[in-house]
Amino acid sequence: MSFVDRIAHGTRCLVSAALLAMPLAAAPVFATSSAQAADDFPSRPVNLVVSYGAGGGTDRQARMMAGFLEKKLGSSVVVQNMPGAGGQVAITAMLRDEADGYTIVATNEPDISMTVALRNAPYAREDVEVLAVDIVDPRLLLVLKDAPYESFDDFIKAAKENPGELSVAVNSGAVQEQFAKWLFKALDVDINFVGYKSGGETTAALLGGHVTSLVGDDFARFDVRDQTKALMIGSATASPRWPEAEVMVDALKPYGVTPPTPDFLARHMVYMVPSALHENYPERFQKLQDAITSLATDPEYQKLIKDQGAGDLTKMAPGSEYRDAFQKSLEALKATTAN
Amino acid sequence: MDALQQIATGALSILSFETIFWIILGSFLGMIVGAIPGLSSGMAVALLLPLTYTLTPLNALIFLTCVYVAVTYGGSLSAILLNTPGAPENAATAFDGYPMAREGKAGEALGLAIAASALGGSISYLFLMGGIGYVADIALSFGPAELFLLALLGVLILSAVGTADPVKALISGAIGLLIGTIGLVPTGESRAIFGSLYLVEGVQIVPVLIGMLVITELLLMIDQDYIVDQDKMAGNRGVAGIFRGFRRALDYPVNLCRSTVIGIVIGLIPATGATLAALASYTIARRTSKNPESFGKGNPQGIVAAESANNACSGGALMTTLTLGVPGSVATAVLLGALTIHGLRPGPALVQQQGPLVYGLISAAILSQVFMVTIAGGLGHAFSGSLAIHTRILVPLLMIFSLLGSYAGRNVSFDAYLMIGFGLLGYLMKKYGYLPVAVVMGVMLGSIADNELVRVLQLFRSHWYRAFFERPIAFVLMVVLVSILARALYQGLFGRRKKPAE
Repeated sequence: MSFVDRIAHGTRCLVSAALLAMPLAAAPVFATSSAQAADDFPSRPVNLVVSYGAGGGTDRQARMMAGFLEKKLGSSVVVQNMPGAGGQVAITAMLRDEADGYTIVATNEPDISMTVALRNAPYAREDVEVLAVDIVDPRLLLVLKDAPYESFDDFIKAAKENPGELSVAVNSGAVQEQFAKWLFKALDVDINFVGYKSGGETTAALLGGHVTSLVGDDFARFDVRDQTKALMIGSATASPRWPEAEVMVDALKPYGVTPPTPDFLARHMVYMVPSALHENYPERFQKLQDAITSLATDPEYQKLIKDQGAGDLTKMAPGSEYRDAFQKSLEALKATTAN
Repeated sequence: MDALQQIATGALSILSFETIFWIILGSFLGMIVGAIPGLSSGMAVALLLPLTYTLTPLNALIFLTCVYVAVTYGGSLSAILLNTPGAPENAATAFDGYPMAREGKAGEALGLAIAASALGGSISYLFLMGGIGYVADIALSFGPAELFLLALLGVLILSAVGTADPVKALISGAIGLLIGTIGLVPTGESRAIFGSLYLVEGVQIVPVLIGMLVITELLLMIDQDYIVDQDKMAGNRGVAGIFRGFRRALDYPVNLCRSTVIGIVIGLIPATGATLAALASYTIARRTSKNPESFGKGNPQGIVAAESANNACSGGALMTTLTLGVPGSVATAVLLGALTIHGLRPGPALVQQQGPLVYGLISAAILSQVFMVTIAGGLGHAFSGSLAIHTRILVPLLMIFSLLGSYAGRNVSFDAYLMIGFGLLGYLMKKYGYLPVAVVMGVMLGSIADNELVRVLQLFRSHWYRAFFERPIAFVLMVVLVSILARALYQGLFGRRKKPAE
């Protein structure tokens, strides 16, 4: 094949590629133009973007909710995963789209606040608004069932007696890690932080005896209930899943430490929209919010969530109810990382 | 109920029309998705998870497990026919599968891969059935030091791949290792991300894999009208070739057994997957072979080693997933999610309380192998027709699939651009005798080795050597590593000296 032939052949290949790709590229254009004319929101599928990978806790929760949201809105809800940078990728993408209510991000707080406070995210926290809070999952300090610590005190005492010997597995780069760092710094404990990429990995490290403890979430770590015991839980009240865990405020009192809030840095799974949606289309914002919060009293949904064992954690409450709490934890987070 | 009775109850529970329907559908869909480059087993299971919400727990788990298992079969079809591993775990299959296809022995290569897959898979499920009560403890004892050494063992394959200049192979591998260090470190800081938030979690492996292996090949393909010569194709893409491959797989019983054991053992280790299993098994097959230089040029042993190990891995991974609730890979992480959605809690209690369900699932996995072989054989026969398609159609089609595959992982255009960038880099590298495959392996294993080493330092601080010398498994792994290196060094020194004498 001569050189000219090659060029010609290559060009033909690229032209056919472009021809085949055209319908794909054109599809979103048609979708947008037809939606602008419509007032009966939602007139096309709503995108629910999960800011984490498929199969994780937030993903499962969002997919379960999506099925009910479809019924409430009377339109289909498409779940997509857009993981990356602790939720920052999904939020950035959402803010790039038009704030018309067709894109909702399922993510966690205070993780998104953290991307702003600590990671120089290219948006301000005010650019996004929490539509609704799905579940609130408190932080948990876990050790193996046969570990020689009967209480939180035992553990801290052992850690202080053997500086640099005990270890705690955390989800690195996530709020979980910030919580662990804040906790052990406040108690003036020299402990080894070992970073992992997911809750599943931290669990494997604990079960294998490679770390002495892990910081996880109440509901998410229920999977290792039989092999572990909880020493401390970061919530205002005791957990039905981990009755042995001491409540954070009480556990820290002997050390003269008061957490900024009783459930400081607990995982709040939330649905976020651009703040512009609330201003530009208040009725769409309201419709979406009502659809989600109505699940708080939906018997079918409540039965499903109770069967899963998270009946006490589900909120399905409007985001406005949590605005002050989010503000408070954001400021505390900034303060703890500043020094 | 004793274990035997539970196995019997479980095996009988799957003999219904509905369950068998889900086995076949799962196998078929998994294979199609697996054959598409960039759609990995994790993605396949996650994509099809919503389909199972309304099924009974047993049928849902069986369906998803079949998808998971079938992806590896499907991936081997595209690895062999197109040098495009459908999933990362088939990367090692392409090393010898594609050269065989280029020689016109596509059918035989497919037969080898399918038979090795079925044998490796079936043995691993039988092992799973027998050992699910006992084995999990061993896997958990693999800590950061052991995983680091295991990844390092994989990195050694860099010196083993292909026929290129070893210096160029090492340079390619080093580029990969360097790229693998990009992103979040276990200390919570991000490294070398150049201010891009898409790099915070590191360079995604799918764009690198598709770019380096697929796009590179597609760019080279533009030079030709067809991937293989038409006359060579005609006699060899048929069912007869596939059957010949089936028989040939049985010619290597030692390789089969060894690779299956490697697959099972690596599958048991949390967070390592079929990719590592296939690469490790391939290296060992090459290392123990009488003519290692024939590997990478179409040696059937290479296909057998890779495919029996990556399928056997699923039995091991399911063991860890079911008994401990700790995912052995991305795909089993999704399976874990499916368990909880259906109100089941993975862990030792699952086997005790839900014995019939667990054994039903394993029985279905064994039964599915029969359907897998049939579907893969048929699909391979039909699919191999793609080699006869003019590149003017094939190249753009695969280009689009590749773009979609890179994009679909995170739904981010950055990854698609990244793939194109890696494709161009791979094209240039290949033109100048460097190895794109070594880059891919460097990225995959480099990030594991990097992260685990940081964890060793986080755990042991200045006493890091204790992690390697005071732990028996780590020590054994070090002995293995050192002896492989010593052998390579010995051959390098004395092998070269011999040549001039001849």
